[in-house]
Amino acid sequence: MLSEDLRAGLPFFCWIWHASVQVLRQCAERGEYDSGLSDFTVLSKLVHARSRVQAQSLSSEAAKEKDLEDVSQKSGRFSIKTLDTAVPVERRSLSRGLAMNKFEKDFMIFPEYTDTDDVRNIEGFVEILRKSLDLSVDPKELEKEECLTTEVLETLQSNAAFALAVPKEFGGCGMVNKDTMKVFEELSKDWNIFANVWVPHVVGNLITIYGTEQQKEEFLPKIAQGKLRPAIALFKDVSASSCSVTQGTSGQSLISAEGVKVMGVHNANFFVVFGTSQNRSTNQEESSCYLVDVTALDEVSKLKFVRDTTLGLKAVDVGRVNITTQVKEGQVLGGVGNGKEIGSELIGSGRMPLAASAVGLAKRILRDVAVLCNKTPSRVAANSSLAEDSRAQRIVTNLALQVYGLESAVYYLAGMIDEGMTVVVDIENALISFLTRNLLESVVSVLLELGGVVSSDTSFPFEKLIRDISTLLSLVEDGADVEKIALATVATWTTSTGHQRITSTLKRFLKQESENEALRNPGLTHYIAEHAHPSLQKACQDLEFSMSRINAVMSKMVGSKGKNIEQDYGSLEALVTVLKNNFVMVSTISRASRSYSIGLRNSDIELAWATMICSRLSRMTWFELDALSDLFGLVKLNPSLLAAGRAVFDLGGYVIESPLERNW
Amino acid sequence: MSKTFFSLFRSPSVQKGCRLASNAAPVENRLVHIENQFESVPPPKRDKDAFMGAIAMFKEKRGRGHVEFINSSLKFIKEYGVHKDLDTYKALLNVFPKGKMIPQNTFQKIFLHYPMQQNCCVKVLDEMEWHGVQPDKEIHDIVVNAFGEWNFATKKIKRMLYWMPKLKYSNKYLDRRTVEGKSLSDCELAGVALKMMSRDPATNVSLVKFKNDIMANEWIVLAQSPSQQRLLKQLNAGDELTTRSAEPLQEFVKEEMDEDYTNWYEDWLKRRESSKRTIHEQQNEVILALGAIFRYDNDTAFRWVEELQKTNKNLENLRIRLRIDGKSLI
Repeated sequence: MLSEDLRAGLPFFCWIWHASVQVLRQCAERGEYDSGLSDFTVLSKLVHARSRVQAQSLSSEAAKEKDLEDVSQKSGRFSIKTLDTAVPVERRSLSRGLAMNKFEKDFMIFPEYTDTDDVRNIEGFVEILRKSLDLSVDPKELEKEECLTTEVLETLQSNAAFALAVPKEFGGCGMVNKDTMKVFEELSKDWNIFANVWVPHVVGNLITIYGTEQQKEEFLPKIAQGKLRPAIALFKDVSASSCSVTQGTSGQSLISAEGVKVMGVHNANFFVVFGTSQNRSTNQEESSCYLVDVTALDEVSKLKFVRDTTLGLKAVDVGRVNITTQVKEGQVLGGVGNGKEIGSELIGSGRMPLAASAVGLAKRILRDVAVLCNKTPSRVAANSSLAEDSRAQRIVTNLALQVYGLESAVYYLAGMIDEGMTVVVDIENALISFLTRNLLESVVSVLLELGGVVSSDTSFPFEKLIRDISTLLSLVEDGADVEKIALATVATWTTSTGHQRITSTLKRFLKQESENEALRNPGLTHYIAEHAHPSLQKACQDLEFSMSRINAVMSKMVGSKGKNIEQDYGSLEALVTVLKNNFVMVSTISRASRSYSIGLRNSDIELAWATMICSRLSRMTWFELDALSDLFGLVKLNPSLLAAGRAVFDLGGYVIESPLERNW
Repeated sequence: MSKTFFSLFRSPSVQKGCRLASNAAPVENRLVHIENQFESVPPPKRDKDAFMGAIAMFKEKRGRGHVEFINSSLKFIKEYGVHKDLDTYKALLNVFPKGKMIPQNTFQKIFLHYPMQQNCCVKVLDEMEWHGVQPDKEIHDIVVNAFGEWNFATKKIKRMLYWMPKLKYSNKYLDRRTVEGKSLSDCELAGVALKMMSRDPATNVSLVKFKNDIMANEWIVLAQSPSQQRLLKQLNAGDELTTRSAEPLQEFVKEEMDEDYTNWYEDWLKRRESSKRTIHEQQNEVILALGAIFRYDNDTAFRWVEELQKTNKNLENLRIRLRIDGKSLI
């Protein structure tokens, strides 16, 4: 079997070797090629030299791209926006490119560390952190104390958990995204620990991006040392809270916040809140982000925090805060009026660490479940374990595939950002939040299903975990910004393709025919399979068909409804599902391809898993796209789906009569 | 003899004589003309029991004159307040004899058998349909037993039985079961009506009853949604409000094709974040509350405003113009 696999892998190896010659030539010209390296090391180096080669090959557009990059950096990495068409969209955004049926082969190469030492370093770092946490964390004690114990705090501080993403010049570790993801995988050992590190991490990111030099110098070192205990305003809260700001003279304003829902480190001494004020020139309300340092408050200021009694996450402070204080110009983050953008960045920058933690948790759960199921007798047959039960295997299969998908996506995205290319990852980052939520929900349902009757007991070993997950999911942003993702994609599609509606009936008829044909038989144009391992040829074909179809459907949707498509949530949601599937397919294909090509352990299983994931997702995509293309036919599937929800709201619940009801 | 009696009753002159005679005779035993049977009951006593009593009396004493009796009873059905009552229609149709009018041979089947009776039956069923009374299987059986399975009148009831249930709930704003066959008080009916009229599903309908001696059995119903309260709160001091009878809302928005895609996403973001127009904010007015009052005048309307003020403090600062009875009261 192995030899067959090797034979199958040979053409790919030959191809990549062939391709390597060209790249190596370029490297050799620049003196980067060391002839003393073994073949495999060369191969590995080769793949990772991609970014540098690409960076140089784009030199003609470098200046323009740098400007764009500057703007992009300044306005945050994760807030969703439209792209200009100065640079081909498919080179800057994976999802947008795929939706336009444009393919950039660089996206098929899984991003990773350039240097093996970096891998070893982070592995060592994480190993120490894991062991320290194993020694210091007692979940029951955390619940009882309702805060992190001194021992845990010391562990986190000694492992620089608060300093992960803080730049080195401000006393932090300045870790790249891949490193951070590895660390966060371990922090979900207990969700209380995750939340206590996650909030400072997000706040540190915000200050790094939007803060002035003075703010950075003042707050970032304190965050790195764990001295700053921040709490952030929760955007999901729509209940009776208000935070208004009255602007005074000489840059001073009065901030008056009542009942603002916040989440943060226990006994917070630093609050990030969003207040609305009246713009004097435009006379319109604008939102701004304010940093309130409790230690710097004067005597007149008032601040009161009331903790909520939460279901889980007992060691995290969730509650409402009332603040009345004077804020100076230096306490506004990112300038007045930029609150919304900073808010969306706040949400966006928290998604990847959360996803990585969810992956870490799911991996640990799978390990625990494997142990438990192997030891537990089957409920069906005598002399067999629960692990031999087909149903149990099926349940765990779904979870394992989800973990593999999300893990690939998270590290793919983190690696893309680390490569420093002008790649925009706003949409992918938002898509990750959907995947995370699905994974966490699956973890809970798997535990309940496998646990059976035992899971109804409060002594169920995962009882606390289930409470923590449900609390966390209700607190963090739910990633439900379907409309933003879909419209950003559609808007970029229309500008990039220069879409114009065909007014001639004959032309429209002919185009309709070609579109229908494209949907039925998409055909191959990019031959993506050439850029991955041959065993993944089917998966690559599925991806390519999906790309071709989504382009045709998009053209049909925009042609038929124009901008009115923004009203049709059902179609936008289907579009997001397709984008999500495409993203997972690309990341799993490129990961499995890499793993098999360099011979990682169990990479043959990876190939099988990637093929299975792609096969499933492509069918799901086909269903969604079929429903979308049918939208304008006789069966108006999506609008009627929405109408059901609307009817429930308008008529006050489930108003359908009992099937036993008679009318006369 | 019977034909004479029949025609006599139908003659206007004899009718007059009969009416005079009936007025003079004792109530129990007097000879009453078919039409007078309903007319003779004084208006305060005209109710379902009286109507059913008249039908029972007719069935007990007479074997003929069904058409005349039913025709005359239909004239009074509304006055007796039984025009929406299915039992009444059943009793009326039960007046027709069973079996006798069922066609027995082909000729009877081809030609209209007992045309007067069948037309009369259809008239009853028409009346029933007009008043929206839903037929049931029993009324169908009554007609079938009187006129046969596939006769002219039977086809009418079969069609009614087919179509009327289909259109029974065509008004999606009202579950007619909450009203039909129920003896609801005025304030309860007002509550149902306000619930129907309030297009905002979040509307709270509340009832205020005055129980003191002066205002006994008097009530006010208020209907206001949280978004209306919010709109009211946003009004500036001194703004003028008007109270008058309600008008239909403009709910429909024309969909237009916009194909200028420049800055689409940014524009959409702005539009999305800008505040939405509620259904209460109509083109020429903003509806802030609905209400029903037990008496239609400005004084009662003023009490309604006072009740509204308890939950909407901002009303104190506004000028309210009442125009319920045509006279303006500020």
